[in-house]
Amino acid sequence: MLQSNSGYAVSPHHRYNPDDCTACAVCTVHCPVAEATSAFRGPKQTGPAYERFRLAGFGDDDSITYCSNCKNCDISCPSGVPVAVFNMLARAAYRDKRGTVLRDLLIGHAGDIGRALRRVPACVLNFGMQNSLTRRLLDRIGLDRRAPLPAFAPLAERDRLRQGSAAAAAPGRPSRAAARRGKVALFPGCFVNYYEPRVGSAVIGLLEKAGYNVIVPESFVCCGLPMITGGLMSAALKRARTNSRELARLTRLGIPVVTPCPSCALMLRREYRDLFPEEEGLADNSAGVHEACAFFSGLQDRREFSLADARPVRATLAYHAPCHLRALGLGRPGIELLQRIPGLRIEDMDAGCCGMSGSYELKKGHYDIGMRIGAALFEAVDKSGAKIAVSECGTCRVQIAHGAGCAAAHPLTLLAECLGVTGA
Amino acid sequence: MTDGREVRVVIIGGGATGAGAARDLAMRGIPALLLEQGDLCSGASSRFHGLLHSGARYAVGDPEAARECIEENRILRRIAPACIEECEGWFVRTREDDPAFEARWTEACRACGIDVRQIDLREARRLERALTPEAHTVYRVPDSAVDGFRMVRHNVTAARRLGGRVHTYTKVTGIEVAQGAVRGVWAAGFGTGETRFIPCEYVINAAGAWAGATAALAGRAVPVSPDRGLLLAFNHRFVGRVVNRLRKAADGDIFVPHGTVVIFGTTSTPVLRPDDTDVDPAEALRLLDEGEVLFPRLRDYRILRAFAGTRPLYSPDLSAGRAATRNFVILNHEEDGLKGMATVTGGKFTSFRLMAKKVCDLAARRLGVDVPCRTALEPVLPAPSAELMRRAGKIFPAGGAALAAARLGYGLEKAVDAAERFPWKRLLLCECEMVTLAEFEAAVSEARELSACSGAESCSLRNPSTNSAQSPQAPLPANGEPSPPQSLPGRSGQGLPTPLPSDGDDGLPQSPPPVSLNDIRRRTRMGMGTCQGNFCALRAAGATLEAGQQPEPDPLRILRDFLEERGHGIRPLLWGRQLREVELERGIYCASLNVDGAQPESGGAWKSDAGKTRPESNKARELNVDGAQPERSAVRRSNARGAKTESNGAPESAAGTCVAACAASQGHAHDYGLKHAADYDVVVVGAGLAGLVAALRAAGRGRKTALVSFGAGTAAIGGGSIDILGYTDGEPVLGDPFVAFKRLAPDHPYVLLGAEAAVTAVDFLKEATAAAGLPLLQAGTREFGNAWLPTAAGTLKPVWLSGPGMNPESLRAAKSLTVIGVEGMKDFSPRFVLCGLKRNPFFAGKTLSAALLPLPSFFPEAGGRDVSMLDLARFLDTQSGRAWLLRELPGAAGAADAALLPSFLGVGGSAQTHAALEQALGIALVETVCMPPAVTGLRLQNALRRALRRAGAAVFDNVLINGALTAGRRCLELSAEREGQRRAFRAESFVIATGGIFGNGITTAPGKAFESIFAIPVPAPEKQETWSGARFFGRTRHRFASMGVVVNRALQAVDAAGEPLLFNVFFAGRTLGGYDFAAEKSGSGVALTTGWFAGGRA
Repeated sequence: MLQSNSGYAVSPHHRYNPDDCTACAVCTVHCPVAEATSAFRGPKQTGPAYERFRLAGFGDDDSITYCSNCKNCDISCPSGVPVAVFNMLARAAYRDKRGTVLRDLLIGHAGDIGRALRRVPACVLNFGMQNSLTRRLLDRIGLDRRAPLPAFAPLAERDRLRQGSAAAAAPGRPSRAAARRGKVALFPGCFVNYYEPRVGSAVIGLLEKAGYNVIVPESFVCCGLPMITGGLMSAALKRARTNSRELARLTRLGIPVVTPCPSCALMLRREYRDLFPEEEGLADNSAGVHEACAFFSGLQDRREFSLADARPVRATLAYHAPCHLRALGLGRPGIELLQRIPGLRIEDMDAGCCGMSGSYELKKGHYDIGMRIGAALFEAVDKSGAKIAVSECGTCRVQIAHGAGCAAAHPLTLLAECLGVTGA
Repeated sequence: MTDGREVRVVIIGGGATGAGAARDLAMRGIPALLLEQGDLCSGASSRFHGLLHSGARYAVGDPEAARECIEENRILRRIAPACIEECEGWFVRTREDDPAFEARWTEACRACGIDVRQIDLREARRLERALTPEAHTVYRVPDSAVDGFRMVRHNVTAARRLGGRVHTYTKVTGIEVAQGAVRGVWAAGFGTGETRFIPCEYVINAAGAWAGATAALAGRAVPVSPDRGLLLAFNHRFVGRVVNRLRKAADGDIFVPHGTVVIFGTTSTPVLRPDDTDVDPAEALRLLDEGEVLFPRLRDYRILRAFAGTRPLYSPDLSAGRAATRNFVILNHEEDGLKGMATVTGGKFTSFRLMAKKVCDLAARRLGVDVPCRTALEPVLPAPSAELMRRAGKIFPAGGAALAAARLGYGLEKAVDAAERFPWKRLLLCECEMVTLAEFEAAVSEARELSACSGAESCSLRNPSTNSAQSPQAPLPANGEPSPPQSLPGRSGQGLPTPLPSDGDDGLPQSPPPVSLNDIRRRTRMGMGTCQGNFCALRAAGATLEAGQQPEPDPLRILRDFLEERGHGIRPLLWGRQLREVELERGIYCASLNVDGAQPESGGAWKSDAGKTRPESNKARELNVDGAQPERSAVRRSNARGAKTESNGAPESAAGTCVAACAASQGHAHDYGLKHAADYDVVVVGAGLAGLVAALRAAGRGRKTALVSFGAGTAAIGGGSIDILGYTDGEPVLGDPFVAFKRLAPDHPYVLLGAEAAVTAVDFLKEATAAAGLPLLQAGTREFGNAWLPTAAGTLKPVWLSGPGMNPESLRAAKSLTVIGVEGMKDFSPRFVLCGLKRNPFFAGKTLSAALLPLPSFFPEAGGRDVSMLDLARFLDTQSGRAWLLRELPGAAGAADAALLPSFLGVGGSAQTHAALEQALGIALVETVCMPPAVTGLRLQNALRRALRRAGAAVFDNVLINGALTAGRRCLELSAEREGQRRAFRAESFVIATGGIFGNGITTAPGKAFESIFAIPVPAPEKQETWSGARFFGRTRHRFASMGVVVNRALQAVDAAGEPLLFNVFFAGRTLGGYDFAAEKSGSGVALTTGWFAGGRA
C-alpha cells in the first residue's frame, strides 16, 4: 500500500505574497462584483497585482471598498492564490488610513449588540430596528434603507438555543436516547443566534437523534467575519483569539464543533490562519470545526445517522449553494441529505452569488450592485417554480426571500421536520 | 553636420556616463551630440542591481572609491530624487561570516565618513521579516536604490532641454583623425540607416564595455575587459531595504528592492564579448545558494527573470573578475598622441556624474571653455508642479501618479493631457506594473524623437522598403542585445572624409523599427512585472499602430520581438512558477492567437472554394458527415460493451480492499464528518475541457460521477473553439486533420487512441453542447481540412469546431470586410488585425478596412476598471447593449458586407442572438479568436457545466486533491487534506485531468518533473538548459512542452517496462505527455478526445 501525499499544495509560505498569481484573470471572470459594476477593478488587480505595489508603499485605491469577500476569486483561481484575503487585508489598511466608518462598526458589532440585547423581547427589537424612522436614520449612516434587515427571533427561542441539550427537559419534548456518542459543541453563529434560533434548535435535535449530547458554549463569540469585511482587523483578531481558546479547550476534550453557518465555518477553519498569519496558535484546532450539513452527511455515510424514517414530502425545493460553502470545498452536502427524503425534488440553482454576501448589500452604494448580482439567482428560483428555497447561509436566505419573494430555509430545519425532530 | 547645427563634442555611448556627459556639456553651453548604438541605457547602466552605493561595500578594499561613492550618493539624492528610492541599506553579518572582517569594516567606514549604525537584532527582524534568523549583527548605512533607466533618461532629457542632441540606434563606425587630432566621426543610423560624417573637435568615448572597440576606431588601445554579472529579479518585494552581506565582496551578496521587485546579484565572470549576456541556469542556481544564507526562503519566492550585464573593467595588468579594480579611469588620449579624444571607463553607476564631470573638464579645457561643472548644483529635472500632480492624481490609479511622474519626467504633462481629453486612455496597458495607455503614448513619442524618427509620416516615407521585407531574419539592435561594433580598419587616420556606403556593411545597425516595444518597456516598466508581457504584448503592439505608427510589413514582429526579449531572461529559470507563466504565454500566443505558426499559403477549408460555389462545398460537408456516421456509432457500441464488462468484473475486489484501506487510513487526520463510503463510480479530477467532457461522458453512461476541481479550468479563459490538429512538425495541416494523425509520433495521445476516437469525441461534444444551448459550428471539413479563423493578432488559426459566432463561411462570402474594435478595449486593436489580414493571401481581392466604435457612455465608471471584452459581452446581453451595437455598428462598418468583431456578442453567445443581430444589421458578424479572458471559452465552460448538472454529476469546487491511497495497482481513494481535515473521494475508477504545467497537474523543479497527485515521474532532461529551444516562437522544439504522464492505449500511466501503474486511473488532457498543444494547435482536440475516452473507460 502506498500513501502518496507529494503533490503540489497551497504552500503556507506563499499565502501572503503574490507569487503564485499568473495574472490569468480567471478570478476577474468569475467575480460577481466585477460583473455587476465596473467601479471595481476586479480581484486580480486589487488583490495580487496591487499587493506588489502595496509592498512598495503604493496601491491605495478606493476600488478596494467594492470587494464583497464572497471568495469566488479564490474558488476559481487555478493557482491557489488567496485573492480575497489580499483584498480584506488591504481594505483594513485602507480603513486604517482613512478612519473607520460608523456603519462598519455597527455591522461589525451586530453580534455584540445582539448579545447585549438578548433579554429584550423581539417585538421591541424589531419595532426598534425596522420602523421607518430608524431605517432613515440608519440610511444616513450608510445602511441602505431598501436593503432587507433580518428580524429578531422571539425571546423564548433565543433563550432555548443557548441551553443546548440542557433544554431537553423542557415539557412536550420526546425523550432521547442516551448520548452514546458523547458531546458536540454547537457554534450557532450570530445570524442563527439572534434571528433564526430555530435552525440551531433543529441542528441540536438532529445531533441528539444521532446520539450526541449538544452543548452551546457561552464563551464562543462572533466569528469576526462582519468585522473583517468592515476592515476592523483588531476587533476581529480579538474574536479570533477568544474563539480559538475555546476551540482549543474543546479539542482537548475531544469535542467536535458543528456550525450551521458556512461563513462561520470558513472563518474558524481557514480564515483565521490566512488573515492573521503571525498569530500563534489561531488555527491549530481548525480541524475540529465542521459545517453542519457536511457533518451529517459524513455521519450518514458512516451509518451513524439514518434518514430511513424520514416522512415523505412531495415538494420541489430550489437549492442555492452559498459561496462560502463552495469555498470550503465541501460540495453540496445539503443536497445530498435532502435527496434522501422520499418525494422531495431538489433543483440546484447554480446561479452564482446571491449578492448579499453577508452584510455587503446592506451598505449604501452596494445595494444596487447586490441586487444586480442576485438577479440571476432570483430568476432561477422563480423559474424553478419552487415554493421554498433552501440554503445553508442565513444572509443568503434573507436575500432570496427579499429578491425572489419566496420562503427560504436551512436544509437542516427541513430535514428535522421530515424526521419529526422538533428541535430544542 | 547632422542638420546644419554645430557639434563640438561627440559623446559615444548612451549609458549613465554618456548621458551624464551630455547634461554636463549642455550645462556648460558646449554643443554636443550623443550617439548610442541601441536604445538609451541598453548596456550595463540598466543591467546592474540598481544599488546607489553608500561606499560601505568598498570601504575596506578601496577607501578612495568609498569616499567617492558617499559623496556622489549625497549629490544624486539631492539632484535626482525621482530616480532614487531612499530605502536605506543594511549590512548583515551571519554566523558563518568572518567576525574579524566586521571590525575592520566598521572602522574603515568611519574613516571614509560613511554613517554606519548598528541596529538591534530584534528590531531588524521586525522590520525585515524575511531575513534569516541566523543574522548576527546588522548595520544601517545610507545605501539606496537607483533606477538606471530613469537616471539616464532624465539626464538626457535635461541635456536636450539645454540644446544637447541625442541619436539612438546610431552607431559610430569610424573616427576621423588628421594631424594627430580628431576631426569628426562616422556614424550610421539616424532613423534612416544612412551613414553621415559628423565633424567635431572632441570625442568622448563612454561606450562602457564597448569602450575598447570604440577606441580602436581611433587606433587607440584601451584594455577594457567585459565582465559579466548575473542578476535575478524577484516578483515581489520580500525585502524593503538594500541588504548586503557583511563580508569581503563576493558573489550573491546584494539584494536591492526596486519598486515592485527585488534585484539580487551578482556574479563576476570574465567574458570575451561585451554583449555576452546569456545566463547559465546552473549559475543562477549557485547564486540562489548564496542568497539563501541571508533569506532562507529565497527559493520559495518567484523569480521573474535572470539577466546579466557586462561591467567594463579596466585592466591594464590583465587582472580579471573580482581582482580587477572597480574604479573608473579617464584616458586622455592627448597623452598618447591623439588630441581631442578621451575614454572614460570602468567605475560604477553611483559615480557616473563624477566620471562625466572629469571627462567633460578635459573636453572643456581642450575647447577653451572655462565654464565650470554645475551638475552637482542643480536638479536634473525640476519636480512636476503641484497642480500637475493634482491632475495626475485623478488619472493614474492607486497612487500611480507619483510612479508616472518619476517614470516620465517632462512626459507627464503630455500623458495627463491625453488622459484628460480621452478618458479611455487611462486604461492600464500593463496591469502588473500599472502603465496606462496615456503613459505608453508619451513614451512612444519620446522614443521616436530620440531615434530621430520623429513622426509617423516621416517613418512611412522611409520605412517600407529596406530591411524587414528583404531580410526578415536580420537581427535588430532594438531587441536583442546590441551587437558589438565592428571596427572598420583603415578608416581612422585617413585624410579627407569620404562618405561610407551604407549598403552591405554588415556591422552597421539596420534602421530600427520605428519604435520597438522594448524601448517603451525601458521607459515605463511595461512588461516587467508578474506576467512578463503575456498580457500587455498584444495590447502594446496594437497601441503602437493605433497611435499612428506605420505598420511594418510584418506587424507580428513587434510582438514577437518583445516576447522573445522577455523570454531571454525567463529561459534560464524554466521550472515551477516561471514555467507556468510561460505555458500560459504559449497558450495565449501560440494556441489561441497562432503568432508562431506558419500561415498556410494555400489550401484549407475556406480557401479551397476558388472555383466552386458555396452550395457545393456545403454539400461536400453533408456528404462527409453522412459518410463518417456509421463507423462512429460502431465505435460507440463497442466502447459501451467494453466498459460494461470491465465494471462487471471490478466491484467486489474494489470493495474488499476498500474496507482494509478504510481502517488503515484512520488516525491520519481528523476524520469527523467526512464522507467515507465508496460514493462514486467515477471521480474526475479537474474541470478543464478534458475533465468536463470525461465527467459528462461518465455520467451519461449512468455512472455515478463526481467532478472535483481546484480552480476553474483553462477552458474558462481559452479560445473556446475546438482545434484538432493544425500543425505537424511546424507545417500547417492542409487536408483532413484526422488523416494527419499518422504523421505524429507514436506516443502522441491521438496515435494512442486513433482517429476514430477523435471523430467520435467531436460528435459527442457537438451533441452535448447543442443540448446545452451552445451549438458549435462544424467549421472544418474532412475534404478541405481545417477552417482558418482570424485571431486578434491578425493571424489565421486552424480550427475544427467553432462557436456559433465564428462562421468561416461568412468570411469567405464577404467581398468587403471591416475589422471593428471599441475605443479603450485594449485586447483588440482593429488596425493590428487589419495589418495581419492584409498580408494574408486568403484576403487578397477583398476590400479590408478597420474602425473603432465609441465606448458606450457609462464605461468606465469613475475610477473604474478598464473595459474588457467580457464587460462588453455582458453589456451586449442587455437590451441597451444590443441597441448600442445596432446604433453604432452600421456607421463604422460602412458598406462592408461582413464585420470582424472581438468575441463579445453576449456571454450566452447563442446562435439565435447572433442571427438576430446579423439580420437587424444586414451584415455578417464574425467573432475573432481573442486572448484571455476570452468570452468564447467562458461560453463553452458554462455550456458544459450546464450539461454536467443536467447529467446529475456532483461537483466539488475548490477541492485540492493532494493525496492518494493505493493498493497494489489500484487506486482506492483520492483525498484532499486541508486545515487538518481530510476528505476522501472513493470510487471504482478515477480520471485525472488536472492539467499540465500551467494547471499544476505536472509539477516541475530544476531538472525534474512529476505528476502532482501520484508523484508519477515524468521524463524530463536533467540538464535544465535543454528544456527549451533558443527562441520561444518559431520552429524550435521545447522539451518542456511535451512533458507529461506516459500512458498506454487505455490512458493508464505506465512504468518504464510499459506495465500499467494503476489499472483504474485514467489520465486525460494536458496531464498527458507526448504532444505540444501550443505548436500543434491540438490542445482542445486532445483534451476532448482523451477526456471522452477516459470518461468511457472509467
